[in-house]
Amino acid sequence: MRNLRRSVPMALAVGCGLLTLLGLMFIPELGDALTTWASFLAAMALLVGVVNLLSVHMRRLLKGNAYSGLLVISILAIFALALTDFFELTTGGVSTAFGLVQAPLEAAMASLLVFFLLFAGFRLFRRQRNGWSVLFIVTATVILLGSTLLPEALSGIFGQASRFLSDVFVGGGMRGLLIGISIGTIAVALRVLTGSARPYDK
Amino acid sequence: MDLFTSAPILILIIVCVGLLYWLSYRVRSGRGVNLRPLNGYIALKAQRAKSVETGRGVHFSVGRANLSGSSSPTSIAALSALDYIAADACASDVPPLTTTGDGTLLLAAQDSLRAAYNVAGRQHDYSPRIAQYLAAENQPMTFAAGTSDIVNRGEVGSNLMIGRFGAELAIVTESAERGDMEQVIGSDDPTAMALAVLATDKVLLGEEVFASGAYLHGEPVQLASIQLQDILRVLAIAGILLATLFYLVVG
Repeated sequence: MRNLRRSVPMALAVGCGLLTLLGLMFIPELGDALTTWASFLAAMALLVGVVNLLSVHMRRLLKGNAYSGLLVISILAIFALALTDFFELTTGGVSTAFGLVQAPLEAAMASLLVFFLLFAGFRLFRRQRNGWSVLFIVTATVILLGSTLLPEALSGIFGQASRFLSDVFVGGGMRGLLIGISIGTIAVALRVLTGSARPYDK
Repeated sequence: MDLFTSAPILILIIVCVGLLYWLSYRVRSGRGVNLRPLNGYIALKAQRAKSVETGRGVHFSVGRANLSGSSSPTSIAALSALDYIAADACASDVPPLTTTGDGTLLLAAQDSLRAAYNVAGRQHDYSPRIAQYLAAENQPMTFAAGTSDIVNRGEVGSNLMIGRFGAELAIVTESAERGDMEQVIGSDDPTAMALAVLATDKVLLGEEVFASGAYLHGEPVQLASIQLQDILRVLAIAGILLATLFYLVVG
C-alpha cells in the first residue's frame, strides 16, 4: 500500500512531464492542453493562498492585532466589490480599488528601493573592507556619474566608462551566470522528469 | 517546433538522462564526489543547528516562483533546502516560519513541514499556518512588506531566503539587518543576486541554488546531477570557445 502511495503520484508526475515535453515538441495541442490544466491548478492554489492569508490574520486579529484587522476588512471588502461587479451592481470596482490603493502603495515602496540600496552599499563597505568592496564603490560611482548631468568633457569620459563597464563586465558576467542557471535548471528538470526528485511526495 | 528543431533537443535530453543514470550508478558504487565548500550552505547548516540549540526559529522564504512556470526548478531547489531545515527544527518544535508569494509553493511548503512533523512523530503539533502566503506573484512590494513584518516581529532569529526574488529583496534584507540577524540568501534572479551580495556574504548565486539537494541531502542522484552540470558546463565553454575561434578565423 505504501509503495502504491508513492508510485502513483510519481507515475502521474513523470507521465505528465513527458507528455508535456513531447507535446510541446511534436503535438502542440497536447502540450498547450496540459499547460492550461497546470495554470488552472495554479489559479486554484492562489485561492488556497488567500484563504491561508485570511486564516493567519483572523488568528492575529483575535489576539488584538489592529493591522491584521485592517487586512481582514480589506479582503472582505474587495471580495464584496468583486461580487457586486459580477452581478453588475457596480462597474470596475475591483480595478478602481486596485488603482487607488494597491498600485500607489507598490509604487511608493518601489521608490524607496534606492535608499535601501544606498544603505546596503554603505554597509557592505563597513562589513568587508577589501578590494571587492572598493571595486563595488568605484564601479557604482562611475555608473552613477555616467548617467548624471555633468559638463560635456566629463560626461563623455564617464559615459564611455559606464557603457564599457555595463557592456563588457556586467554583460559578460551576467551571461555566464545565466548559462550556469540554465544548466542548473536542466539538471533539476531532468531529475523531476526521471522521478529522481519528487517535491510532490515527501 | 518543427522536426529539425525538436529532434536534436530530444536526442540531447535522452543523452543527458543516460548520463545522469550512469553518473548515479558510479556514485552508488562508491566513486565519491568532491563538493567545493559554499558559504551559503555552510551557514544554512549552522543556522539549523543554532535554531535547535537556542529554541529560536528561523524565517525561511521559498520565493515567489510558481511550480507550473519556467522558474519551477528554482522553487524545487528552495523546497529541498526547506526540507533540510524543517527536519530537525520541527522535531524540536521550532518550525521554520515559512513564507511564500505563490499558491502552489504554499501547498508544497505546507507538505514539506507536515512531512517533517510526521517523521518526528509530532503530527498533532503541525499547523498549516506555519507556512504563510503573503502576496500574489505580481505584487513584489506587497510581498516585501509582509515578509519584513514577519522578520521584524522578533519571533525569529535568522533570515533564510532561497528561491526566486527580485528587487524587493533589498527591503527584506534591510529589515533583517536592523534586527541584527544572520542571513542566507540564494536566488537565480540577476537583480536579487546583486542585492544579496550587498546584504550578506552567505549567498548562493545562480546555479549554486540548484545544488541544494546535493549539498544538504547528499543522495547519489543529486550528487550525480552536480557532475552532470559540470559536464554540461564544460561543453558550453568548449562550444563558446570553438564558436569564437570560428568567428575569428572564418569571419
